[in-house]
Amino acid sequence: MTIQQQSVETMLRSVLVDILGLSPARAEALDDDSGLFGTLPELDSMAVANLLTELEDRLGIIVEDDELDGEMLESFGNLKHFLNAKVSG
Amino acid sequence: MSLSYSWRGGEELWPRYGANLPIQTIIIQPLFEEANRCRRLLVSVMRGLAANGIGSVLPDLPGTGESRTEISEVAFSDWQEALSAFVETVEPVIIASLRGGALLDGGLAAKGYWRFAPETGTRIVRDLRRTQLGGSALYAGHAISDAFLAALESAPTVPRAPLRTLRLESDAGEANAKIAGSPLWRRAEPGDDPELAAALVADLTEWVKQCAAS
Repeated sequence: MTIQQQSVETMLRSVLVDILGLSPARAEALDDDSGLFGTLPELDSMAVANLLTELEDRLGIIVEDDELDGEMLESFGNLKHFLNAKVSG
Repeated sequence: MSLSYSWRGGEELWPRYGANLPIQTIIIQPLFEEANRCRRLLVSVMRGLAANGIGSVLPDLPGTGESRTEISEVAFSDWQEALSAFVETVEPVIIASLRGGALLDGGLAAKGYWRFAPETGTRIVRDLRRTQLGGSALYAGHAISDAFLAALESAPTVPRAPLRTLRLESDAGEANAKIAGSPLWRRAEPGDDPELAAALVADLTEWVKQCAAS
């Protein structure tokens, strides 16, 4: 992993703690296959909006409406890969 | 204590602290769900201001909070009108606004203005639309009309003077000062943040005193 990828992953875990109220231990235990939208009860549609906006603010990216789909939010790994691609692009 | 004012025949209620103090502040809350999440923070701020000799009042916007008007029947301009009528009765030294509330201080007369983490209409509407990802026809649980959303989306942040703007350290936007804290308005379980409340009280008290003396 590059330093940038590491920092995106760390930041993503800390946003999940801050916005969804996950315990740090639960956030730390998430791996690439862990389900997010549709799996985590904390991640309802209201929380999705807040999560995305907070990620935009902290990473300095903009998520376009047409990039926003269930697949991107399906798992921790999918969201992480999406953010890494955004930050690099 | 609470006070009520009449808006289109309906009674609107709001919390008020230090009503008998000579210096008064009106606080314009964040919009929609963000207001609920900041409620405890704001009440802490209002108590802190009263302890410093500054009265404050937190009006509910028509169609939100305890208002008996349905949000689906409210236009964005109604919010501006209701606040204008209200400001005339309170004659505040400062109008303090949070987040989307900063879109509403444009037409209001005061000696000074204070904004915490002001947000643009475009971004607030984008947030509201995103809450429909799960297939809901409502926006964050509210039946907001298309006309309202369009007006909110294009609502400008009006330049005011004298103005002091505060933001969180994690926010890259321009500000007179940045303070530590987390964005309670985005948290599912926001609770209170006593340190953030104390920092806001200290900053606001200093600004109110400066503006009252000018």
